[in-house]
Amino acid sequence: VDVSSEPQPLEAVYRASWLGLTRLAYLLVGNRSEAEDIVQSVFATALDRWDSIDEPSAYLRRAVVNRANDAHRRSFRRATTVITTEVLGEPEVDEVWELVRALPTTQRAVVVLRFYEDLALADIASMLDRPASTVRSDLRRALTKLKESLL
Amino acid sequence: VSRFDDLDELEREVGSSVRVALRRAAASIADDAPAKDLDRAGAEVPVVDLEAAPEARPAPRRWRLAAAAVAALVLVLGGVLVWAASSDDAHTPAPAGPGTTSTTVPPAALQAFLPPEGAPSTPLAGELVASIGFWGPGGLTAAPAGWGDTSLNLFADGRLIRLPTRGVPGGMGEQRLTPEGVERVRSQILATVFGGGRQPADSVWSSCFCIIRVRDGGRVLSTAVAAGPDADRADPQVGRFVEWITTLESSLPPSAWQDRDVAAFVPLRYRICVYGEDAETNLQPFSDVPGVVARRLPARVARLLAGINPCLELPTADARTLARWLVDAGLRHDAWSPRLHFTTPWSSDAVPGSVAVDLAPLLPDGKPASWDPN
Repeated sequence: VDVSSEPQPLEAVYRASWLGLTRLAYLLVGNRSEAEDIVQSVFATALDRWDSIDEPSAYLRRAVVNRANDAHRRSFRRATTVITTEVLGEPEVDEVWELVRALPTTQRAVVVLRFYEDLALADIASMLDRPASTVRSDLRRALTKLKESLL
Repeated sequence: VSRFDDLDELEREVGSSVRVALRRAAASIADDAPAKDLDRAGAEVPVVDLEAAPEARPAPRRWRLAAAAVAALVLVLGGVLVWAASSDDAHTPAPAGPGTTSTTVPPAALQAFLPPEGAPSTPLAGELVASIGFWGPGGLTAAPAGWGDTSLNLFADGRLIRLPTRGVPGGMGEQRLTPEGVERVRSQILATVFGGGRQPADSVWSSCFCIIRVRDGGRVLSTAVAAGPDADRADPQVGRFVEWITTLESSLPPSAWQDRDVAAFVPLRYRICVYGEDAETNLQPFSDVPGVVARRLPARVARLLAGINPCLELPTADARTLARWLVDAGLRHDAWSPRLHFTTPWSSDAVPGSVAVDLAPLLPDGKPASWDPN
C-alpha cells in the first residue's frame, strides 16, 4: 500500500467497483434491486468516513457482505420473500444457482466468498467476523447439502 | 481436536459446478447500471442516497460538506442515532491500514475476553441441565439481536452462564437461579422442545438456527444439528420459545432467581491446545508440540505448557499469563468470545503450516465453552 499517495476520490472508486460489488451482493441476496440498494447504502455509509478508509476496496467488499447478510436475515424473518427465478439458460447451471440461493444465509455467504471471490477460509472468517472453524463447518454443511441435492 | 473431514473432497466434487453457476449468475448483472445512474443524476458523482444531506449530491467538492452535515445531524439527534451508528459499526469493519491486518478485532475487544482475574466461580464443578447455542453473527431467524454466536448454559447448582457477555471481565456472565428456577427452565424446554421426551421435529426446529440440550433423568436430549433457517417452515412455536429463553429475566418469576445481577464467571481452568494450521485453517496435531512450544516461548511461559501434546488444562491465572504474552507478542488472533485463537508465525519440519494456540475456558461440567453448537 502506498501510504503517501492521495486517497482515491469516492466517485472514482464507485465507478470502478460498482459492478463487482453489485454482483457480489446479488449472489449473496439473490435479488438484483436489493443488491443495488445494498451497494448504494454501503457507499452512503462510507461517505462520511471516506478520508479515513485506507483500503477502500477491502472495506467496501466487506461492508457489502455484512449488509447483504443482514438484509438476507431480515428477509428470512419476514418469511414471505418470493424469490423470482432468473433463468440463466443452462438447466444444470440454473439448478446449482437455485440450490445456492436456497442455502441458509451464513452458509450461502461462505459458498459465495469461497467460490466466487476465491477467498481462503481464513480470509472468509475474517470478513464474516466468525471463527475459522465455524466457517469451515458452514462450508462443509453447504457443500454436503449441494452434493446431496445434485445427486 | 480432530478437524479432519471430507471438505477437500467435497470441494473437488461440487466446487467447479458451484463456481461456474456463480459466475454465470453474477454475469447477469450487466455493466450499464453505473452509467445509467450517472446519466439520471446528470452529474459526475454517483447516485448515493444521502437522505441526511440531499443537497450534497451535485458536485464532487460537496462530499466533504455532506460528511459534515451527516456528522452534525448525528450529533443533533443524539443518543438514538449514536446508537444506530455504533450498531452499524459493529458490522462494518474499521478501515484496515498497513500493519493492522494481522488482527481481526480491535485490541480492546481482545482484552475483554482475556481469562479473567479473581476467585473461580463456586461450586467448582456442576452438572449441565440445559443449554441453547445460536449460530451466526447476529440477527438470526429466531434469535434476537445480540444473541448470535451465543450460548446460554444452565447448571444444576443454579448458575446460568452466557457466552459471550459484554461488559464483564472475561466475557462470561453468570446469574443464579433458585432450584425452582432451574426446574422451571428444564421442564419448559422439555415440554416445549422435546414434547415430553420425544425427539423434536427437524422441520420445525431447524428454523431456530440453534441447538438445544436438556437433561431428562440420566440422559441429555438434544435437537439435531440444525441445517439452518428454512423460511418455508418457520414455526411460531420456535419464535415464542426463543423469545422466552432469551428474556429469562422477565420470563421467570422473582422466586426463580437467586441473583439476577450479572457477575463475571471466572472458570477454574482453561484448556490450551496447540495445533498445526495450514492456509485453509485445517487444524492438525503434529509430532513435536512440546519442542516447538518450548523453543518459542519465554521460559516462564513455556513452563506453563510443559508436556502439552496437543492440549492441557491450566488454572485460569496461568491461562491469563499465557494469553497476555501471546497478545503482547502481537500474534494474529480471533477473539469472538472467551475462546481465544492465536496464529503464530512459528513453524518447523514437524508442523503442517504454522502453529495455532487455542485457549478455551472450561465450564463447570469440565467441557470447553463454545457458542458453536457443533
